[in-house]
Parts: sequence; C-alpha cells; structure tokens
Amino acid sequence: MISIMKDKKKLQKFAAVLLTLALWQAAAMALNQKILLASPLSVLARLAVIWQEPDFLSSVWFSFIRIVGGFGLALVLGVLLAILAGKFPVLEIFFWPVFTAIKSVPVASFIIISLIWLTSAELSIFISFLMVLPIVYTNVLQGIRSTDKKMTEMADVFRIPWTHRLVYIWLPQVRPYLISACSMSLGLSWKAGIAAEIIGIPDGSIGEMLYNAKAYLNTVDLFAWTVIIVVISIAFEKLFLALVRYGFRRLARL
Amino acid sequence: MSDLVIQGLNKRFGEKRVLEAYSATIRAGRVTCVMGPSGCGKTTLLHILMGLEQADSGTITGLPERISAVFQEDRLCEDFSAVSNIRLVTGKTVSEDEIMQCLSAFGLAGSEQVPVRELSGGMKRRVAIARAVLAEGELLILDEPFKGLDEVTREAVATEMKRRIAGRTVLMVTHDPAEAVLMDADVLEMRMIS
Repeated sequence: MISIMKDKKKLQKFAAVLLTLALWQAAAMALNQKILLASPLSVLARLAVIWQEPDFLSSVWFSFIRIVGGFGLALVLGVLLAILAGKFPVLEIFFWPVFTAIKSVPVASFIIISLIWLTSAELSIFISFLMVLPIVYTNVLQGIRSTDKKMTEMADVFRIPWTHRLVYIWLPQVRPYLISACSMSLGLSWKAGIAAEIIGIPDGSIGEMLYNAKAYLNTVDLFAWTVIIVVISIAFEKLFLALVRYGFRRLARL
Repeated sequence: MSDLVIQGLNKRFGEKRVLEAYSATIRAGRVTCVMGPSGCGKTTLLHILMGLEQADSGTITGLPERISAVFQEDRLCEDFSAVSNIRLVTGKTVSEDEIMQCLSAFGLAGSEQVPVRELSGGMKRRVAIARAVLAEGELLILDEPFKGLDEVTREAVATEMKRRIAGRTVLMVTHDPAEAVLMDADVLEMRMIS
C-alpha cells in the first residue's frame, strides 16, 4: 500500500516536471528569441554535445574539487568548533560575532573582499567554505546542546571514556542535526562557489563557462551549464548523504 | 568493600527540603531496600551516592570507586544492540560469551544483537539490569529495577539477579515490599520530612 502511494507520488512529480518543461518549450516557441529564452529542446541538444568538448571534464573537475573541498573543510572545522563550543560555552559567545557576520554579510561582498587576498582559483574553495561553516557549526552545536542529560549522567556513573561517549551517545544524537546541516549546505556551497567563479573568472572553471556564455549572449550555453551544475550538485548531495547515512548505520552495528 | 555509612545528610532544592539529617548504614555484601512514600528523597539519596547530586552537608564513608546502576529510566543507547550497550560499560573486562549468557539468563536469547529501540519496554529493562550486573561496580544502585516487568518475569529476573550479585553491596529503591522479600533484602525506611 505504502509502495503504491510512493509510486503514485513519483508519477505525479514526473508529470509535474513534464508539464513545466512543456510550458517552458511553449514559452520559448512563443517568444522565438533564443537570446531571451532558450528552449528545453535546444538546451538538451546542446547538452548532448557539450560533454564531448575537450574542456568539459577539466572544467567540471576544476569547480567540483574546489567547491567540494571548501564544503569538506567547513564540515570538519564546523564540527570541531561546535564540539569545542559545546564543551566550553564561553567559546560560543566568542564565536558569536564571527558567525553572525558570516551569516548576514552578502556573499558578493565576501567574494569581492576575498579577491584582494586570494587568487581567483582559490576563491570558490574559500567562499563555499565560508557559506557552509556557520550552518554546520550552528546545527551541530544545537545537536550537542540537545544531548540527553540523563545519558551523560549514565556515562558518568559507569565512567565511560569520552571516545566511547562520542560514538555511542553524542554521534547518534547529533546525527539528525548533522544530516540536516549537510543537506542545507551542499546546495548552498555550489550556488556560492559558482557565484564566486563568475566574479573571479578563474581559467577553466564552470564559472568561466557561464561568464563566457553571458558575455557572448549564448543563452543556450548558459542554460546548458546551469543544468550541468544542478545535476552535479544534486548527484553529489544524494551520494554524500547516502554515505553519511551508511556511516551512521555501520556505527550502530559496532 | 566496607559498610556504607551515611551521616547527617542534608539536601534542599530551593525552598524544598528533601533530606534532613539523614543517617543510615548500608551493610557491605548485602541487598538493602530503601522504601518510603513518593517524594521522600529516595532517588535524591541514590543520586548523591552516584555523584550526580551534591549534598548540602553530611558525610558518606565507605563509598567505593566504581558504582554500577539501574536508573529509573533505562538509559540505553537506542541505536545499538544489547551486547553493544553492555560492552560500552564493561569494556574488555567481560567476554562476549559472558554477555550473551547473561542476556540469555535474563530471557533475552535471540534479541542480543537487535537494536535496543526494537525491543519491548520489559526487554529494555532487562538489558539495563544485565548491564548493571555485569559492570564492575562494587556498589550496585538499583532505582526501581523491576519497573515495567510482569510478575512472572520479575520473579525470574530477581532469582537470576540474586545469583549474579551475591556478595556485592546493593542499594535498591522500591515501593513494593514484595520486591524486598524477593531479593532477601534488609529494609531501610525513609519518611517524608514534615
């Protein structure tokens, strides 16, 4: 019964996608101006060719490794800072202005300021790092704060070492917060990272491809590269979250 | 372990006096049941002995280094199996075979590797009891250990428990005099502070 309902929902979603594509195609045909609105069929045709171009894989790899690198660094540092702030509450107050500033300053300001200090090739790592860090920190800290006090008391009475507390008590309780942080920040890291590349225009990046498409008014390319970014971002998000969930499942079998 | 001697223990929570000049001696190597009406400070006394609460004044002598406990709630790691929960507190001092035997003796054969969240309330309680029994503590503190167990299971668990904790000092809170009889326990009455 549940399976049938899930299949029905999937079908409904698929139908919604088809309807949106049909509306997009109709609008493009009605407008008949490729520069203003590329049709989905022309984007699809371009996608069929674009991946065979010599620079395609290197451009995707260039952006992927930097954005994912920034995300990974932020994930590690965000978790570490949250653990420290959980252990020493004074650090939470100390970190507060930094994280509040990162969360409220527009990403474009950070990109422009960072360009003074960093090369354009380093920019997307830093910007994706900067956007992800406060999300991971805030969520994981919230998870640590919500740890069941009674379980901590149990660990105190039985004198459980902190490494075991980490695996058996803290990680399972932080898990939903960490997964939620990753889910929220993965898409954001791609959006911010690509925005940084469009402003910094590092050679051989997806951002450069998007910039060129805009400069030469090549709307079909612009749409095609946007589709590629969305696909890579979603695929990485799904893969990464599946790996995290698998890791936690393995942990539970200890 | 020597006798546990509590002298002139006082504890307040704000304006509420929970323990007032409370004194008692818990005989080493025996099971002692603490009984009394709700709110008379039984759990507070256990928490002070476990180091989870600080007494305002008074002395406790003979308190051992290592304590094991069954709390009022099960306090188990729900994602992990019964074996993992027990190994978490015993470390390598108890073999997996011993853990399996103990769980089986408490009627949990076949459920040893199942995540605790999938067990029934009574089964979880028995895992918590097995954990306390197998942990190294010289003093066992049991806060209503048979809570949620039916009469037949309670008797079976008590029999197995008595066999496994023989010679250890046990302090148990209960509301039911039958449980004190079941455990061949000394009884320590606590009264409400007027």
